[in-house]
Amino acid sequence: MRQIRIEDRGERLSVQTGQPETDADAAIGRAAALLAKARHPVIGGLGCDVDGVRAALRLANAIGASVDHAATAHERVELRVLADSGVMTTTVSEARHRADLIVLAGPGAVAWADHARALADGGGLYPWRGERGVLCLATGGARPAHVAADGTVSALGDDLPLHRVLGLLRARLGQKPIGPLAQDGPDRTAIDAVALQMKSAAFGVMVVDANDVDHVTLDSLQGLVKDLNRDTRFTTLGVPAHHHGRGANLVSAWTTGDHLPVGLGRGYPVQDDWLHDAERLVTSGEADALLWVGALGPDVPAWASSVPTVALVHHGASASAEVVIEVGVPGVTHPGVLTDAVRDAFAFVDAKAPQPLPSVAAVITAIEAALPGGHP
Amino acid sequence: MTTIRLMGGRVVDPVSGATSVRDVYLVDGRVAAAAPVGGAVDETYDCTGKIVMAGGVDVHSHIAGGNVTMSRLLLPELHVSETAGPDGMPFATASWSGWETGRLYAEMGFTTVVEPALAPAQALQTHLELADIPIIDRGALTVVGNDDHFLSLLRDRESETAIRDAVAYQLATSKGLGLKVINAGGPAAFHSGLRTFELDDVVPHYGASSRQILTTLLTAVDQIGVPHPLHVHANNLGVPGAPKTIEETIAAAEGRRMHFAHIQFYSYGKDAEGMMTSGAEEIAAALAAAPNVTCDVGQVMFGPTVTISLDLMKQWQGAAYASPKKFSLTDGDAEGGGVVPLVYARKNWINQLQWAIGLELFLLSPDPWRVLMTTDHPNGGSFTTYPQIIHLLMDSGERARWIEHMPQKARERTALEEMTREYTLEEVAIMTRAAPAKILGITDRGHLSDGAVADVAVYDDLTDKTAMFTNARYVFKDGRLVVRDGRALGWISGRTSILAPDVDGQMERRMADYITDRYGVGPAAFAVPERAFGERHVFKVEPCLT
Repeated sequence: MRQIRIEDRGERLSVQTGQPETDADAAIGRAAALLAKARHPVIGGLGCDVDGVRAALRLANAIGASVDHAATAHERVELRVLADSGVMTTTVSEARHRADLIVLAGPGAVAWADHARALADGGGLYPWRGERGVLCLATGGARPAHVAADGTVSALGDDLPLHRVLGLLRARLGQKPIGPLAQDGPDRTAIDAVALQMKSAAFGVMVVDANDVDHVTLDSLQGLVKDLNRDTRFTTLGVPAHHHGRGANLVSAWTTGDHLPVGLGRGYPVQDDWLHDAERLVTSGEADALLWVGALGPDVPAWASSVPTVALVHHGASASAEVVIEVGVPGVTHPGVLTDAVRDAFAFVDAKAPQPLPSVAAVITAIEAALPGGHP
Repeated sequence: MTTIRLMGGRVVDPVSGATSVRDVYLVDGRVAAAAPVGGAVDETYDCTGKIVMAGGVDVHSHIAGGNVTMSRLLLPELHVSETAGPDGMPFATASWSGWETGRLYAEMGFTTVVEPALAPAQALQTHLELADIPIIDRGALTVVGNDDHFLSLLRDRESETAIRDAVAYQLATSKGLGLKVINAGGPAAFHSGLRTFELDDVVPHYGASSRQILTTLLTAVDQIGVPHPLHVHANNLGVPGAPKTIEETIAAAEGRRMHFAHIQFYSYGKDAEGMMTSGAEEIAAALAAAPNVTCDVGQVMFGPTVTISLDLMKQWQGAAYASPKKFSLTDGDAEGGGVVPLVYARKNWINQLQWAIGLELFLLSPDPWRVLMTTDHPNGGSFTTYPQIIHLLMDSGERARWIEHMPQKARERTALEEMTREYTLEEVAIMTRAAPAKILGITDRGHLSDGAVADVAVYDDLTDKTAMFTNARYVFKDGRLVVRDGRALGWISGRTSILAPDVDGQMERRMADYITDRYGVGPAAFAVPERAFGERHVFKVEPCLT
């Protein structure tokens, strides 16, 4: 076994396996051997910082792996709609200060607004902004407790699916007739009032969680926003993808040319949501090895048990895998670059509680170096 | 000490002397006028019959940052990867990746490229992407002038000193190589619902006109000592009649140095019926009369492409012409961005006229030191069309072959057909090497003088200039062979050139307060620290003017 780089840095690997292992080299070697002999390896989870994703893509190129991220709604819904028909978006901070109408579309938007509290105050940079209205569309009765509003929160279609509410609004905004309405649903007057409220906003922001919708619904939502921009300014705000999904997909885009999932088995990247879906590859038996990256979560999924797995997990994570390597958490045990959801941008984050645990990038780089023909 | 001898090539470098057949020595990464005394030559490359030039320098090419990556995500169908790359060069053929960008530039003999839209709120992403572009050196221009903080300083009639300090802060913290303003005030006005913006229009709620923003920044650039003149994306991009805007903007500069980006997009006149005609002569005359002004052309070339701009107002207007029918528009903090795909079609007379106007500008250029070659990549076309552009400029016969296919409606609106000028290799060397390096203030490159950075491109001397400039025979980066026979040999990492102006401590505190109020996070979240790049040594600090 070659000497590995992470030991050169004096860092330590904590190894958890069914048979406790104290030799970091051995864990790396076993991980490399497991992945190298695979016919179709997969890298999944990918909850890690920028350098971790860069290292994972390099390793994938070396072993011909498919790479996917756990934030599948971000990839299969948000990024699909972007590629299908385009999007209008803004940042949390711009919405906070400039929006005179916040539209929470779907229950996930309400849950996020209350959890993140990013819109809990109305900002104050633009004193000319009018009063802030808040509107709930198809939220199933959920109302935000932590979104700043001048006046009461209005709502439409609590008992309707979001796609139906969006369709009704688009029709009325386009001065089209609408069909018979359910007796327990909104009447035309209520729909027209909400349409007028949206048209009357100077800068409206519609918040939506990709986990709430399919790509057709999100496409319709974006279409509604584009329609509104003929007369006023309106845009959208996506609930941030979990486990650093936004950042991982951006790194993939500038590295491979496109978002995740991506396959590198042909010596060049192939983006395909179905073909390179990590869960599908593993559960169908097409893949025969998995490298799960969960420094920022999530835990190794149950479906991973069907293939030999190397798991890179944070302290305290439960993992059952052939090789389990404990890694540090970027921004906690070691510094790293992560996306900052407030302004949808990358930020360098220092370690809050430094510990001598290796980063995902260090471990993956060591695995790549330990491959047959690798360069330590 | 490593000494490389480039033997017997025809050296085209007007900075170091007249074109002549001579040897060029590269010693420890620098050009040497002669072989080291008593020093052995480690490697010799026979350049007999070949053209030796400095590595190319691109002053304006959108190669990195949030909007560039947005274009990757918006248009997967335009860049499907289909070819496996060579061993040891991961992602070399990953279409539209940063890795492919570095390889393709290097294979053409370009060794330094500047990204012209570094938004301060997104600076780290731009620099992360730049650092992943291999082989070439990079730089980026910090975009200012449309953000609430800056406009508030104007509204509050703050002093020149305060504005200088605020701009210096943005430049330093974003690690820019220069400063750029985009449709001064236009994007801010678009946030408030305006859809057009002229030089004397006023940004709602701030009381600041576009002219005031422009002239304030011209002053700040000089006071900070930024070597590159203010990089100006003027008002009215793409509007017939925009030559008047350019003339008014030149007048507003009152003799101060200024660089117009992609001036072709402003060179559209209009006839009595309001139809588009060439305004190239008017622009060329304005440039000839203003020696303080430089520009890059932003040549249009045919085919599908994507426009990437922080000019939200223009991109919203352009979205109606998107092909395919999709676009993205980001209302960012201060600077956002719009991405709109377009097809420049050979059968479209307006697109043909745009193509012709760009070439007219080159051929009417009063000075190759002041009119630079760009396509505003990818807005006018890909940077990979540079060899074709050089061919069109050096060979009137090649131009005639292209003009044959021009629709009559376009032909009668441009004087291109009557132009006989052919660029010389010396003019090409100035326009694509020496001049952009000089204008950017990175004067250790773009030429082959003693002590220059050993970035060198060696080309076969071919009649077919497209073939000649598409694949360099050899390219050396910092004295290291990186391309042979038109193919990159492997990955090395270049540097990103930045300025590090002094930042006033009081302004730092004011900015920290503002940033915390606006974002709820401190200024550290916006920083571009070396540590973000791990063990990589990314940045090279260039001197400010004193």
